[in-house]
Amino acid sequence: MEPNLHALAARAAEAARSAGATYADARLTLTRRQEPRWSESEERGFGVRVLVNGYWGFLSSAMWTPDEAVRLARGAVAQAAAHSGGQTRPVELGTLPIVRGGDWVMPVKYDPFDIPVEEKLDIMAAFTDIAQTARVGINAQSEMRFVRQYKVFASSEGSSWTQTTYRTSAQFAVYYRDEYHAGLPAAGAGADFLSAAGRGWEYITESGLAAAIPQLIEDAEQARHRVPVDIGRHDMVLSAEAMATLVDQTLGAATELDRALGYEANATGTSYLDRPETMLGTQVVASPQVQITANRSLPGGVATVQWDDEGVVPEPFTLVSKGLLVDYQTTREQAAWLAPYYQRAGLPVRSHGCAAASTALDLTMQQAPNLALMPGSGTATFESLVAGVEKGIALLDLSVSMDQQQLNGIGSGTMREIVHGKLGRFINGGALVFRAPELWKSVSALGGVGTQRWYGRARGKGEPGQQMDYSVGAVPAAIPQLSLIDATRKA
Amino acid sequence: MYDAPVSLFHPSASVVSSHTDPETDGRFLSQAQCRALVDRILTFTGGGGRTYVGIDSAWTDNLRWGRNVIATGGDTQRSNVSVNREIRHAWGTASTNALTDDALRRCVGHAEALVLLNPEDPDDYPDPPREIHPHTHPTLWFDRTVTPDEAGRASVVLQMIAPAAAANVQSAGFFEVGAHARSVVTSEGLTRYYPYTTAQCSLTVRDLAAHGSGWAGVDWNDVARIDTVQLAAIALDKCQRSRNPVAVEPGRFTVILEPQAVCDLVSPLIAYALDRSAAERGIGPFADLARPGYSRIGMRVVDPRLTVGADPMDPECGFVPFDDGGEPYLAVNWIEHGVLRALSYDRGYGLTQLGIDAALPNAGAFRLSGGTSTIEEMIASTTRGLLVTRLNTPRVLDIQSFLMSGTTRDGLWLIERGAITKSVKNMRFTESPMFVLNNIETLGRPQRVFRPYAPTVVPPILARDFSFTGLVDAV
Repeated sequence: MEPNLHALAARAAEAARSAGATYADARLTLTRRQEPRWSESEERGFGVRVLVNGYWGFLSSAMWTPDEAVRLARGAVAQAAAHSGGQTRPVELGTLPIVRGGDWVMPVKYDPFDIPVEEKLDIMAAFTDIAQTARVGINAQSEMRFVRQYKVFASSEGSSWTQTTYRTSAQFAVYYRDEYHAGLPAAGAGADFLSAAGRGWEYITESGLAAAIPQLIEDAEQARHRVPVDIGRHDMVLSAEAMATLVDQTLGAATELDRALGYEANATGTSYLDRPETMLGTQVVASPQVQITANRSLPGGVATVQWDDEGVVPEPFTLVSKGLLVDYQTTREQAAWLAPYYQRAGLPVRSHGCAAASTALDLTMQQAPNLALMPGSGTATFESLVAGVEKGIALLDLSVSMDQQQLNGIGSGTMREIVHGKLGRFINGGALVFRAPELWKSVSALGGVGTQRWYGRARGKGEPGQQMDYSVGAVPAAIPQLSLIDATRKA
Repeated sequence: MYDAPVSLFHPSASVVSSHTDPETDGRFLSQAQCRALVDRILTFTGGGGRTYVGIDSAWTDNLRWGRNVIATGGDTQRSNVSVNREIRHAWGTASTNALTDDALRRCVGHAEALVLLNPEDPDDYPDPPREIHPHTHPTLWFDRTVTPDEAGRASVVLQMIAPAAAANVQSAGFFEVGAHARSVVTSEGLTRYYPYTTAQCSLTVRDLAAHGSGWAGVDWNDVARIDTVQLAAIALDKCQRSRNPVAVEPGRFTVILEPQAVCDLVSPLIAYALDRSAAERGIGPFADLARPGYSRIGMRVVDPRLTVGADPMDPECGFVPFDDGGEPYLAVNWIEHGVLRALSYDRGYGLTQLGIDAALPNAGAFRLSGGTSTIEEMIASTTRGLLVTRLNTPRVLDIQSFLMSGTTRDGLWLIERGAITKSVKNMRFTESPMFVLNNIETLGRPQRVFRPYAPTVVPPILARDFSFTGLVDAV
């Protein structure tokens, strides 16, 4: 018989309080992961986080027993007390509505773990067969990944709830065998055909995969005949997918408040937006049409929840408005750090609900919510933006690596010539070199309503490192005079 | 520029003495517990075939600080059990960290369900070893690393923060210790268990107003070999000396790569390019493109002064002496005096391609041989060049040439006429370790660097014509 997880969470929170914690929360998670054919896993977590004298302590393990609940709670209090060394540090968590007995399940049509593995393997095999018999020399690869996490939460403030989330992703890639063996990437192959989403099995079955195969093959075919990159500055049109990468890696990461303030300096890095007190409301970070919002309520979003890992109900918020930096991603503790700004601006001092952890084995920290580059005011589409460029380059997908302040980046991806407003040949070896503020300030046009697309993205953070998944929505954009170099050549 | 760390946690000055025998520690699974666990798992299997169980059990405890304050901690116990079932060369794998009968039974059930769905593949999954190869026994367990002493570790961290706070700059860092055991048990009689301790410490010190940043870090199995005071001093010194950097025009430079920068540049090569089968399929810098189907084994690939190898018994660079599958790690020189001597392969490759019942796994750990020069001597011998602390997020652009791009960080200085003259703004580099290892002027004394769970010993290197391709104004 499985233990009563609510009772364990409550016992841990109570034990921490009696041991002297001014605040405590306990989480238990059961995480199922499946990669059909390759692996199945089931992972338990029990984590207790406490605040003593303004210092945090955290213990976790995979044991679900009443004795363990008490051991974790008392251990976390002892740890926090050791960290404080007798000092006291002010931590303001604000007040939060108490939730008693809440229960939320991410709305999915079909729980992927109710679907037999055979059915999943059939779809993967059918994709491979159809693609490989469609044209000589084609290789196809498919993978699926499913995650379901059940979480039980209790806090010393009296909140308790359960929450179930899902994450489904798949890769259906098509490439020419000779290209692959030359060590080249599977160019134009739609490797992100189904990046992660907060959806169930229907994400796969409703994806239109069968209908997409001819286009994947056509892309792979065209990508074989690539011309060398013409290095220098080019007027470029970026797809929604490429813009999603830029949102994620530049302004998305740079508006994480712990990064901005230096708490992540020894791990993933800091931020070029590192003076919140003077930058908020005044710093121009993008052209006036750029608006970037964040939320954890988007249907189908990977980071979508009813409560974050501190029990906050996340509300949508805006990070960049009319090109101005107006907010950061926060947790309960972090929201208080921005109190002077919020009070000046007449805004509530309130967490944006960005507290998260991979599992209850991991410490809660600020993590990316679902992020969105909002549509421009016009009716532009990717095609119309391309049509507006006489000579330039279209960037269809993008992966970048950034410096430790998310300021300078280099990126590569699938590139095509634009000639007289039409997509032309594929380009080999091009790498986009950019500085984030200039790139965003140069955005000259954005796709309109109806061009926004969503992609699953993930970044690592923290020490020990945790990888968190979330969704990024973006629209296509035109950006003049971006720099391309030949990535395959040195100076 | 800096000597190798000396002990602060010196044995004689050690913290509370408390018995931490791996068999009775309680924070991770003992050999007897692993054995009992596997016996339980075996009773849940059905349908013949073979069973292989891998167990990674660990307790880790960390302190994390930022803005000169201990921000968080974390004390975690976890034991991951991976059950592999094989029936007629078809495999299924499932894992769990829940050690109850119900959870283990489900885990075995998942693995057995996957067996039925997977093809029989005798090449990739050969019969188990006909003979069980012995492994070596390096000393990787140190009581003092994992002595329960939260207050002691917190006080060490406060001592590391103090100099930065006094200098009015910001320190952020991470200090973690751990007790671990890796166990592999099969239904065919292979029983392996190895306990080890780990310790790592690193910190970044930043001066926001003056755009300075410094870093230092190291990891060891024995916490006594981490000189935390010296690490804090190095990071602060680098922060202060890197303030107010000036821009230098990118291009080809003579560089002095400190050991951490050498590790950042060379470790991707060790991690991704040492696969024999891939090289023979034409992939990577060790493929012989002139002879399809062959690797470059036997050919000179880097400067003849260089030897690249790994040995679990290396006292400066030892590691758990077998891999997740129980294959022993042998002492190996991948590159000997500049000549490629070996590439890694699994038992499937050994049996089918070499006719031997053996594997040559790559632990990821490595030692790069060096010379005797000090960094001071290298600086004194340089007319114009750059001193590089470390490299950030190197990304492989071209797997064939192993051309990588990344940025410098946490201290970059211009050297002119034998002396450091200026702090320089960071730069993007686009360079291949294959090229750098063929352009070496001088090698320094190898030392342990920061690469947790993949011990690495490398020398500082003075090399010609290192390619910087852009300015990066991040600090």
